[in-house]
Formats: sequence, C-alpha cells, structure tokens
Amino acid sequence: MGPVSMVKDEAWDQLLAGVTKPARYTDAEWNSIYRPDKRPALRFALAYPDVYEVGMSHLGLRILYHVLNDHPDYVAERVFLPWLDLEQALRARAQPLRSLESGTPLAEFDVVGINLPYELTYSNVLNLLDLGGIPLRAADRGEQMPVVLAGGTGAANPEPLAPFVDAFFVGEAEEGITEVAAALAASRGAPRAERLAGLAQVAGVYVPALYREVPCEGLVCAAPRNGAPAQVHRRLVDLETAPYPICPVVPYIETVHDRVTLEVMRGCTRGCRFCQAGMTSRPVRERSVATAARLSRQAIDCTGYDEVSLLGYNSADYSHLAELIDALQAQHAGEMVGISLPSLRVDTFTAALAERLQAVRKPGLTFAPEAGTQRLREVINKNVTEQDLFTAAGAAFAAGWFHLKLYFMIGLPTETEEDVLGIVDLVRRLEAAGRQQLGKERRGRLRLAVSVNPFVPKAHTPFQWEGQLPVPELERRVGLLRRGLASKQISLSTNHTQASLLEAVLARGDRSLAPVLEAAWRLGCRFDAWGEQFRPERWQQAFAQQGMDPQQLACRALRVEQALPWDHICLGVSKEYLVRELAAAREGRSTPDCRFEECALCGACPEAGGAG
Amino acid sequence: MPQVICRLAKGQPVKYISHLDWMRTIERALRRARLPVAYSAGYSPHPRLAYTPPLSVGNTSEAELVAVELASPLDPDTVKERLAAALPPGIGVLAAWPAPRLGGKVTFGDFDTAEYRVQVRGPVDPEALSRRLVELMQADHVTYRREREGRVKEFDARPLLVQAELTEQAPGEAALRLKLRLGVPGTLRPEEVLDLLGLGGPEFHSHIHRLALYADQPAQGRASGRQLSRLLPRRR
Repeated sequence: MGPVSMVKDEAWDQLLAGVTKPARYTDAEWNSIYRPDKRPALRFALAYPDVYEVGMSHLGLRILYHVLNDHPDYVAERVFLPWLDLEQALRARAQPLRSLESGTPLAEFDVVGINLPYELTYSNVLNLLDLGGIPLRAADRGEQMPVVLAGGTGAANPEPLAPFVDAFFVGEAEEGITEVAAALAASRGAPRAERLAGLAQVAGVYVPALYREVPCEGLVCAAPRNGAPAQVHRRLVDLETAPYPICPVVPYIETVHDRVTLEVMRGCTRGCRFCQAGMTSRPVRERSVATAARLSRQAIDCTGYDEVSLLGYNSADYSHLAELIDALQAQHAGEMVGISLPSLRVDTFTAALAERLQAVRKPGLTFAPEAGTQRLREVINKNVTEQDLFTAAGAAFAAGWFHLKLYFMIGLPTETEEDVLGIVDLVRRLEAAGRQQLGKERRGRLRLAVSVNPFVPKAHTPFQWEGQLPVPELERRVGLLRRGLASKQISLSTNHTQASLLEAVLARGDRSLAPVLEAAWRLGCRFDAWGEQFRPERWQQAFAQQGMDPQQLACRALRVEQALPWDHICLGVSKEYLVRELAAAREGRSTPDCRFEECALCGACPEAGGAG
Repeated sequence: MPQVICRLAKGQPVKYISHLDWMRTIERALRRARLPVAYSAGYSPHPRLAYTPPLSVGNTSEAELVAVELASPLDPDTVKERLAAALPPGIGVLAAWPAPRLGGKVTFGDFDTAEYRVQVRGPVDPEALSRRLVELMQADHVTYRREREGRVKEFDARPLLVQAELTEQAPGEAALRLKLRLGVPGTLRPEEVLDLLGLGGPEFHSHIHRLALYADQPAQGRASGRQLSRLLPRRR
C-alpha cells in the first residue's frame, strides 16, 4: 500500500486537487511495493524522465523494480517527472520531487537510477535532478548526495550527459544492478570519489569522471585516466533465466502499453543499418515456449490484464511463434485474453499467423517497410520486398483487418526524390489493392495510418558516419508525402523535423553538448518529445549561447578513420563490421541475417570470438 | 444469465481515478478473482458489467454499484469474498446480492438522485453560510455557469437541488448533507453547490463523499421506483 500518509496530508491533497491527472501521483496501485518494515542496506529511486503513464510502460523499469525489491537487502521506489502544472506548484512551495511509494524526497535516496529511453528526454533528466534537489553536475555533489546512475538506450552514447551522471550502466542490467548495489553498499561511508572509482570495477559500469576530454578533429573524445578501463563492455543476460516481473504494478490510469508485456526474444540480427537497437542487442536470445507460457499464466493471474503482447524487435522472428500462440490460446481459453504483436516485418506475417492472432480480439497490425523503393531498402538492409508487403496486407485484409499501420523513414542515406515518391506510390497501390480486395461492401472501412520519421544517425550503427538531411529539405520531402497521400483512407503523421535535428545532434554528441543541455533546460525546455511542448527557438538560443550550430552538427558526415566520442563504449559489434556494412550500403549490397545464412562476423557473439 | 450486484466503496487512496479508470480497475479485479464473468460476443468481447453514474474525480463513495453478469451461477457471498481479495487498497466490497428479475437487464440508468456528505475546511463564516443556504433553498431559479473544456453552459440549478442542510458547523469548518439530481433529469455536482454557497474557492478544502443513490422520479417506460429500490440492499 502506498503513501497513505501523503494522501492524508491535506496540503499535498490540495495540491493534487488543482492539477491535471492527479492519479499520476497517488500510487497505491495493485502490486506496488511499499514495505516500511524493511531495513535495506541501500535505497534506490528508479526514476524515469517523463510522466507516469509513459514511464510505467517501460519494461526495463519494471524489471529492475522487481529485481531490487525481491532482494533482501534493497528497496526500490518509483519516481516520475511531474507534469508542468505540478512542477510549478512544487517549485512555488519549495517542495522537492518525491518517490511514489513512501513519499521520500529524491535527494534522500542512496542511489538515483535514471532510465534514458531516448535523446529527447535529456532536458527532463536535468529537470528531474533539479526538482529532486540534487546538484546538476556530478562534480558539485557532496558526500551526502545520492549516487546518480543512468542506463538504458541513452548509455550507447553517454557523452552529452557525462558531466551530470556519476556512473552509467552499459547494456542489460538485470544481473549487473545487484553487483552495483553490492559495491555501493560495501563502500558506504567511504569518500565519494573512492566509491565511484570502485564502482568502475564492476563490469558494464562507466564512470565519466575517470575519463578526460581529448579534442580530436573537432570532436571531444574520452580517454581513460589511471586505472579506468580503456573500453567499457556492455552486459548481456541469458533471457531464458533472466528475471521477469510476473507481478508488475497495474496502473489505474491508462498507460501507453497497458497490458502484459511478455518479452519472448531480445536482440535482432536482421541488420537494418539505421537501427541502434538491432545493432547493440546482439545476439538473438529467446525464451522457450514453456517458460514464456508459464510467465504469461503467472502475469495474467497476478495482474488481471486481458492482453498479452509478445515483445521482441520483430516478434514474428521468434522461432516457435505458432507453437507459443497456440499454447497461450490453449491456456487462456475462456478467459478472453487477447494476444498482440508489436511492429512486424512484412516477410514474416502470414495468413496462418493472421488466423491465429484473431482468436479473441483483433490486435492492431503494424508493418515497417521503412523505404519506398527496393533500391533504398537494399541500401538500409531492410530485406523485404514489395511482394512481401502486398502478401502480408492481403492476408490481413482476408482475415478481416481494415486498419494497418505503416512505418517509413525519410532522409535515409542516398535517398532521392524518386525514393520519397516511391513511398507515395507504394501506399497508394496498397490502398487500391485493399479496396479491391475488400469489395464494394467493406472498402470504405479501409484505413492506412502512415507514420514517417526523419532518419537520425545513431551511434554504434553503420550509418553513424552519415549526416542528417537539412531541415528545409526534410520539410520539402514531407511536403511531397503530404500532397501525394492526401486521401480519406490514409492518415499521415510525421515527427517534428526540428526535434529530429536535436535528436541527431544528441545521438552523436560529445561532452561539449553538456553546457547546451544545461542552457536549454534553464531556458525552460521540458518534454521535448511531446510535440506541443517542444520549443525549437529556445534550443536554438541555447546552441547560440555556446557558439554552436546544431544544423552543422546534425548534418556533418564523419570519416570512418576518425576517433568517435563513443569509442570507449563497446556494445558488442565491432567497428570493422560497421565500416563493412557502411561500404555495403554505399554499394547497394544487402547482408543476410546470420540466423538463416552465414555469419557476418559482427563481433557480438562471445563464442565466436567477439568482444561480447 | 444471473447477475450479482456489488456495492463498492471508493476510498481516499483511489479518489483521483476517473470513471474509466474505475471501470478498468473493477474489470481487472474480477479477472484476478477468477469469477465466471459473462462476455459479450463480437470482434472485441467485453465483460457484461453495469455501473452506476460516474462519481466526480476527487470524491469518495460508499454507493458505487456494479452489476456483474455471470456465465454460471455463483452465490453472492462468494462473489463478495473473492472480489474483495482481488481489489487494491482503497476499494472495498460492502455488500453483494442477487439482482432482482425486472424483466430485463439491470442498468442503473434509472437512478436520478444521489446523496452526499460534504466536509469543508477553510474560512467558513457560519452565519453567512446558514443565510445563503436558506436563500438558495427558497429561490425559484438559481443560475449556474458551468465551464467545461472551454465551453460555458448556463442552466437553472434549482430543480436539480433536492435537499441541502447544514449538519455541523464551527468557525473554519462545516458539514453538509446534499441530495442532488443526476442522470436523466440533469446532473448537479456537489462541487457546484459549494460554488453556489461561496465555499468553492481555493482557500477552502472540501471532502465530498457519496452516501447513496435513489430513483425518485421514475419516468414512464422505465422501471418504477419500487422496483428500483430492490436494487439496493435491505437496510440492516
């Protein structure tokens, strides 16, 4: 049971009565863990730099919450960023940001672990620290201040946030988090610098203070000081035996992913050349059908959800998908539990799968062709064909689906106007085919939701050396799509191009961006990923204050020979492999998936002699 | 198929969840309780449940009813026990009883009146409050301006105000008992009565609790008040 003391506190209650969605802040949800009787060796705040309903959808946060709370020595509580109205109220009353479970101020925890889901949350990370009463810069934190840990996707290139974070955890943290906790519990009372140096001995931990800034070819790289590892290697876990939260907190308010998220596989070797997740989570690991079915049974019983989503980068790549769906449907028969799959590759969606999926209720279907022409799909190594798309869509329409979601990217390396118009052509022909197949009676119900995102070059991908297209050109290409796809049956959604520019700058950024981040936050930048809250002019001002040009940073191509700011972080794949893949892209050559064809020697498999 | 009616309490810890959140929460609890709930047919099957009219966000209640249609018969005490064990802190099952056969499904749409207990703290002037209350009850028309999502609607609140009495008062505090219409005749919210009494400003802190629902004015074609009263548990 949650912080009833806080609810009973009249001042707090009155504060909540005046804000939007007060149930974001009240906790007391089913399965939330609050044990005031526990005397832990270490208290963790697990913080997410966005509002409750976004953070509560994050599987990683849920996993760590249970790993730590299940351990006899540790306690973990959740902290989410308040929305602007509550932030204002807290600041006006000089009240700190507190945890949900016990209402403890953030600065009173031993460790504050912050998840970094993507670059556009970085202003929120600073806001979270400041609202929690924690000095922004690691160097300014006193002995009594919590150790600020950060991990997740953002740790792939930690440099823009390096001065604000005491230690990053690189890779999958299920096992490493308790090693970090043990090291910090053991060093309690020792000087802060000593504790952090000790922490750097834990595999997967990067302590930025132990690396000095080295300018190289206009970039700032990081070089280890005495005793620090030259490269920090990411951690990986065995998914079959990895802890899984069978009793996750069940939110009252609707969250982004409000269902049982059953992770059936981790990693992807399809090798899309823009995809950071695919490049950095290798090799592919799967849960067995028996384990997945057992976890699903336990999670449904413990939560009361009516939907299980089979999570994986492409869950249709799961080796035993048909068998698993059959097993789940058999064991949840009569309970009205639906099964859904997130975004699917079109070459893996079949009529048989469509038939299986709709047994209880029809989940949404999302396909990601990513590019409009075969040439460009070869360049990015998205090895699907137009025929695959039409076959998959045909199977969906035949099985009774009317709505499809389609993901594309624009501004991909080598993209021409022909490729952009190729998206229009492809979607239009799919619309025509759908209408024809559905027939006079049902064709009016056809809806294609097309989502288009600008290409963002990400660290540790073959396209990390490529520049982004300038914003005006991205806008022009979006305009081509908007005109070409104007139809009652097609909806087009696109990301803010200026936000994509910022994402590109931060994704390949170095430590020189830290003052920009701080300046932008001081200018009031918050919730940059929330379209209507994004303030490009404030960011422009922050860059200008530091004498930097974001357009130049985002659009510049890097040389494959030069040192990169994230070279000291190793996420499995070797730089040689990334260089080979970039060359293959430029020649329009695809590289097959090593699960089905020969090994591409990416370096991610420890058993194949890779760095691991 | 048989229906069981449960009377639920919505307490302090969950008072900020919306009606939609409330419905989701009850559905999930029924599932955790492994009760044999009947489902609708079709593309998107949903449990056959009926709820009483929405409670305002921020209010607590001891009169939230849910009619649960069961796929196989189960005695109400078992439903009560199993559901109670599966509900989060702050939601309680006060009673459960078999739904009467009214020649159709129970939907609760015929409830037209709710009773509330209101406690207010703040700069309450007892004399002025008593005077305003008398004025309000004696008036023929009371115009209320309701602002919702940027739209303003003016309406006569008086016919929707059935009863308002001051049950306790002391400097800085007051307790009221309100009986207000809701649903078909129109809805007057207890917060709006506080506005009319000059107790709605940010300097006041109020706690509103729904005590009961009634069907006072059954319209033609709807179930009669006598029939509806059988939806409520017998007073003990």
